[in-house]
Amino acid sequence: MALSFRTRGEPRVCFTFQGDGASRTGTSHEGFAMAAALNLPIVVVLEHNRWAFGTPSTAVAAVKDWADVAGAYGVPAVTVDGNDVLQAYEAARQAIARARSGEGMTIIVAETYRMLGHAQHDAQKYVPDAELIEWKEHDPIRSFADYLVEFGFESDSSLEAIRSEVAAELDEATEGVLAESHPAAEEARTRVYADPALDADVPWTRRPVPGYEGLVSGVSPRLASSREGA
Amino acid sequence: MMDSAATVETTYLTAIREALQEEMRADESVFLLGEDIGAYGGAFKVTEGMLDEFGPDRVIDTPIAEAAIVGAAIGAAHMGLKPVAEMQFIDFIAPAFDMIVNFAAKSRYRTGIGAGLVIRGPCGAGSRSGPFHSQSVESYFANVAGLKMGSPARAYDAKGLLRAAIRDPDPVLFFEHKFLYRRIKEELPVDEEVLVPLGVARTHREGSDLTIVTYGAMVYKSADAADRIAEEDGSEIEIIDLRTLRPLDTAAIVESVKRTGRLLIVHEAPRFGGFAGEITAQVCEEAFEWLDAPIRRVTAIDTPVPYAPTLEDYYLPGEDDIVAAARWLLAY
Repeated sequence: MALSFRTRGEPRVCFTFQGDGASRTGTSHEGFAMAAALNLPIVVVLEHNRWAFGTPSTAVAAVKDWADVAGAYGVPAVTVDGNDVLQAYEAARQAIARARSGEGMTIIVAETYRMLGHAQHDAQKYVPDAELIEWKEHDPIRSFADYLVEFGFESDSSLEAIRSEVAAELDEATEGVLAESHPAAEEARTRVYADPALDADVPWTRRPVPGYEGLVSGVSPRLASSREGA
Repeated sequence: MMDSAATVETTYLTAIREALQEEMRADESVFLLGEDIGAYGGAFKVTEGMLDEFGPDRVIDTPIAEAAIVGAAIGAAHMGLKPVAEMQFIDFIAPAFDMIVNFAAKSRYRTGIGAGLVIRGPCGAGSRSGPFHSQSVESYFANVAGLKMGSPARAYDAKGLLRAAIRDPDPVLFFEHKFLYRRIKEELPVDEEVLVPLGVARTHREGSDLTIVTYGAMVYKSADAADRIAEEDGSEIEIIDLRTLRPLDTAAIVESVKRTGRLLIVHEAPRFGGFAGEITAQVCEEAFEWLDAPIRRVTAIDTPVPYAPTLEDYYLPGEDDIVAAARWLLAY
């Protein structure tokens, strides 16, 4: 995407987000090396959330200061408190300005914590309770709400109104999705290619054989035609 | 109290863990590396408890870096160790493709130094896991000389083949069907060694009217279909469980086809470029005159593995497909 922005001369900036776990992949290293080499308008947000599935990043990465990784690509990095909305905003604003002015990629290291498991199935029992409790105290949404109230941008009641509005919107969307039926089975064959003529075939075992009694009856074309000829 | 025929109920998953444990106890050069395999015990808990028994030098948690996992395993194999690399899902083998295809597979041919390593991981669909956690990848590697590939259906073979794979001097890709991990339970012998040589198929069910060649989870769907045909139609189907995909036991397939005269190949991987095509060609080359009917295939459709349950069920070959195909062939 960032390459297309540069090619078309558009003043746009591409954001990409990854955790410390994904930052170890070869694909990630290659992507950043190339983005830096081509001076592409990219802001990388490296969420240092301390867990990659069931393994702490301290066990599988030698990096201490995650801003150091930027040196390998020859780009600047800035570390922010990832749970501080205003710090993150300011770092993003500067990185965007840099990218727009043609100075290329910036890495923002957001110090944070993974509060839920790797996926729905993962209750993350391996995460120390003390760490979860500590980071919960540092909830970015609550902290920012407190800030907004303290400095008079919002009141408790206006925030409550926003919360109810958002909750209602989410409930409605969730109910809508849950009420939908599953797609029709044969849709599985479609959308592999742009040209519908290239949709996957219906399996031959599920097709009637034209002019014959069909597969499930156990009549093969040869038998059927020999019968016809008889 | 224990007699020589003692057995213990063992899941497909536990059988794999036992193979790893037994080989590691017997040979200090065997070690494991992969993502989340240590303290966490692996995404499917295959390596649970193994960090405690063997320590962090032999059960190595790695970064999310499949190319490096396989690359490190190749180097270790060159140095005489016997690495067993886990791909958390076999779909994740894709980033390691270069290391496997250009280094592990070609190492002996280029340099005379083999790469005796195992790359194992959960494959297969049916668990509502979507396109990145459900693939059958054997066809991606089928055209690469130098690789061996195992794909067990039974707990016994999972254990026995994996042990043989670890001892093998060449690179082995070992595909464990995740749908079977906890569903398949067998009585495995306690006192006798479970070791299954690579490259030898087994007869899962004897029959004289039609041969089904299959492997992995499709062995069970084929067996259900064969039972149904026997009950409803009175025909007896022979099922060959390949167990190993490369080297392919062509002799066993040809021997069976020469007796039954009819061949159906069933696999979970998509049809185009799948193993069924290769097997068809080999049988045509070696046993064409014995065939009484065209060779037919029952496979997944040629799409990615879909996520929605209705779509995934459509994607997968089912018992009904096998029954329909078998009846078509038997009536031919």
